[in-house]
Amino acid sequence: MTSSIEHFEQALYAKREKIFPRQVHGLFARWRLLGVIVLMGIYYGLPWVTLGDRQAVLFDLPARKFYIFGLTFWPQDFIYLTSLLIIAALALFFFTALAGRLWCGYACPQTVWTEVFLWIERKVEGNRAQQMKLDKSPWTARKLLIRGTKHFLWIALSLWTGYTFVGYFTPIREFGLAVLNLSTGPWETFWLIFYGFATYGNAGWLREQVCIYMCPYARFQSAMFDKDTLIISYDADRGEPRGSRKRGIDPKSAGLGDCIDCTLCVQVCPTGIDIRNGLQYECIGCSACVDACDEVMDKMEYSRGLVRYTTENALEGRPAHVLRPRVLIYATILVGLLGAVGYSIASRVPIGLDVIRDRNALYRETAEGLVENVYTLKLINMDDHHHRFRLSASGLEDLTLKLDHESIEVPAGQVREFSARLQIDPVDLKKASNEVFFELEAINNVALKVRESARFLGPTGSR
Amino acid sequence: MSREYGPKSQLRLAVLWPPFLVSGVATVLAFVMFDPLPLLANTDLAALSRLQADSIGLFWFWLITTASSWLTCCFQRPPGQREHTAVNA
Ligand code: SF4
Ligand code: SF4
Repeated sequence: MTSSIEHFEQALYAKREKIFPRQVHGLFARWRLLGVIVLMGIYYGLPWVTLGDRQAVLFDLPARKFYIFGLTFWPQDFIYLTSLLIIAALALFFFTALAGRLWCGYACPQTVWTEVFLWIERKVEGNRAQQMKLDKSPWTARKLLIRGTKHFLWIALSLWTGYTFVGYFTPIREFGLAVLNLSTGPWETFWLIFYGFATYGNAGWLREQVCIYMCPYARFQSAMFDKDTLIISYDADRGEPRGSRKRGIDPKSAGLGDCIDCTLCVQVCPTGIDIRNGLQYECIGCSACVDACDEVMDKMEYSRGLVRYTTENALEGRPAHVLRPRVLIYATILVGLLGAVGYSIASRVPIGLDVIRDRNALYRETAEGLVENVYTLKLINMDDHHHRFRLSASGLEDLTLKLDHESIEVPAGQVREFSARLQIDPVDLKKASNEVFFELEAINNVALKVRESARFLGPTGSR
Repeated sequence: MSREYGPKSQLRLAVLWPPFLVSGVATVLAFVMFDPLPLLANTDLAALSRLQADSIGLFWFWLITTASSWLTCCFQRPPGQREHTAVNA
C-alpha cells in the first residue's frame, strides 16, 4: 500500500527535466502569434487610453468607483461583477466542451507571457540546440553575459508588466511620475514588485509546471470533455508502426506507418510530452505538435494531419456531433445571461437611493397627534452631471413627507444624506407595520427615477 | 536547473495554493459589496485606509481558507493509515 503510494507520488513529482521547446512555424503558430499580439496590446495599451479627462479603464479602489470607458460602476452595481464572473465561467465551460483547451493554448496569460519570454530567450540564446549547448557548458564569461542579458530583459519586461498592472488601479501617468521620483506608496510598490515577480517566475522559470501543478482549470477541465470535444491527437492507425526511412520509399512496402519517428512533435512540445502516447492531462492543446508534424508530412510528401485536431468519435470512425445537449445548454444560458446583462446595463439608472429607518424610536407622536417615522436617505448620483431631485412618498393614504431641506441636490459622482420624516393620521393606519415607497426623480431628467421601499411603523392595530 | 518535487512540496502546494485563488475571488467580491471603512470605524482598525483594509482582508481570507484546505488534506487520508505509515517510516 505504502509503496504503491510512493511510486505514484514519484511518478507525479519526478525530477523535472528542463524543457527547451523548439520553435514552430505553421498555421496554428500564426494564430497563436496573433493572439499574443492582440492580448498583449490590450493589456499594455489599455491603461494609457484616456477618455475625456480621465483614464478610460480604471478601477479606483480607494474611491470605490470603477470606470470602464463611458460607464462608471459603483459598489451598488455589484450584481454586474457577479454576472460577469458567472458569464466568464460559463464561456469557459462552453468553449471547453466544444473545442477542448482552446483557452490554454491561445489565450491564457500563462501561455501568452511564456510565449513572449521564449521569444526573448530565442533572441538572446539562439535556437533550441544552442540553448541546450549553453545550458550544458561551464560558466564562462560568455555564458554569464548571455544569461545576464536574458534575465535583465526578462526582469525589465516583468517590472513593466507589474507597473501596468498597478496602472489599472491607480492613474498610470501619475504613477509613472511617482516611479521616476521614487515616491510610490508602499502598497503600490508592493503590488508592482509582486506582480512583476510573479510574471518573471511563472513565465521565465516555472512555465509548464504552472499548468501541470498549479492550474485549477487543468484539473477540472476533463469533466467538461466528451467524445465530441475537439482534442489534439496522433492518428495511431495511420502512424504505426513508426520508424525512420529514406525519402521516397513507399512506407507500405517497408511495412511502416506514416510516422517517421523524427520526434519533432516531442521537441516542440512546451510541456515536454509525447502526443503519440495518447491524450495526456499535461497537454495544453497548443497545437505546436500539429504544426511540427504537418511540416514533416509536407517534406515526406505524405498527406497532412497525422497529428491533428480531431475528436474521439472521429478517430473511432463515428459521426461527430457539434450540436449536442451539453453545448446547447451552455450556449442557451450564456446567450440569455449576456442578453440580460446587456439590457440591464443599457437601461441602468445612474442614481441610487438607500433608505435607513431611524433605529432609536419605532415611531413618534407629534403635537398634532400624527404618527411620525424618521428616515435617513442616502442619495447616490452615479451620473457625470449635477442633479436636483424631487422626492415623494406613497403607499399609504394621506401620507405626508417632511424634509429639512428645501431642495435636494447631489453633485456628479457624489453621495449625500438627507433626513426625512413621514407623517400620517393614526386613523388611516390599518396595521402596525406598513410598506411605503420613496420615489426619487431628477428634476432636469425624468428618465432618472428610482423607487425604494421602506417600513412605516405605528401603534399596534387600528384604533 | 532541475528541482525535486517530493510529497512534502505537493502537500504545501495543495494546502496553500487553492486557498489563495479562492481568497482572491472572495476578496474582490466582499470588498466590492461592503465598504471596509464603516465596518471598521468603531474598532481598533479605524485608522486603516481602504487599500490596507482590502489587503489585510485578502490575507485574512487566505488564512481561513488555508485552514479549511489543511483539514481537507487531513481528512483525505483514510482512517488508520497514520499508524500504518508511522510503522513503515
Ligand atoms: S502535446 Fe502537442 S498540443 Fe499538447 S502541449 Fe504538447 S505540443 Fe502542445
Ligand atoms: S512529428 Fe510526426 S512524424 Fe515526427 S515523430 Fe512526431 S508524429 Fe512522428
